[in-house]
Amino acid sequence: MNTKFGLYVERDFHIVSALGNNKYLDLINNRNMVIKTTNGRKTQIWYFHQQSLTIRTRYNNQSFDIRSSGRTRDMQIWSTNSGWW
Amino acid sequence: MRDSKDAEGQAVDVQKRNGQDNQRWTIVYLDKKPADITKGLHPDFNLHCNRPFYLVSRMPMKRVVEMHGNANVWIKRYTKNRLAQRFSFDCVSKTIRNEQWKNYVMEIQGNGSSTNFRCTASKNSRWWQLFRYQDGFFVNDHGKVLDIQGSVDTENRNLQMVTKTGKINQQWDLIYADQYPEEPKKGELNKDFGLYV
Repeated sequence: MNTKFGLYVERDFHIVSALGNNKYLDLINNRNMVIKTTNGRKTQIWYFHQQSLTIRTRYNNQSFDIRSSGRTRDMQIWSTNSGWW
Repeated sequence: MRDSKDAEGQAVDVQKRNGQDNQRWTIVYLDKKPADITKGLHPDFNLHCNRPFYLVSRMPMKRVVEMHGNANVWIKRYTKNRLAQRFSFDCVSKTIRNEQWKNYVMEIQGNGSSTNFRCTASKNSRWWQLFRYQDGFFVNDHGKVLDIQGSVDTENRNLQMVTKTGKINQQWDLIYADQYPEEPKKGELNKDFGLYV
């Protein structure tokens, strides 16, 4: 476990909303983050990547990212760059 | 969650911390995750997993939903063992596939922008491909219900997903194939009509 980040390295996980429907963090258009019903797709599987210290998707190994290098509020996946966003 | 909406496909963004549930998440490691429901009744969708069923209209002729060659879906008189009239719920993808063309799933055409109800080979489990059976209605997450177009109970009548009116052309019986009643044969009584065949 990476104790600073509170996540196990390279151990697959889902991210589940605490709201009533317990929907899963997922992607639409293979880019933008949304919540969806669990559907068995790789777009709902995430892991912590120790070298980059980012959370990546098993769909294409891109990383959590705040769009426009952090200048917006929208969450997406993007090529890994380990910027603060 | 944007606007704190707990809806299918709701966008996710970053905001100042507020401590509310719309900002709370649980990490569930796959090796510790409880087993998914893969058989029996799925409580969220009110559909049995992988158990073929017919959708039977409550209009007088009791026609069933059928997929035909070009992926559109219509109503048709029941024909025994016609797989195009059978559908089953996939508990993993949460979609409903046809038993004749097993890689086709039910959807609202045009990524949900149309009203036309059909089947597609492009399975993506988006909201326009998710349906549940509820109190005699076949409904989706946006509150639309399956409807016989124009309330006309004829062969090959088209189906659509529209706003609920509650009328009989929107009401369906979901009958599993292993429980579908045999139609009366020659010399037997048709109870609905009170006449012998």
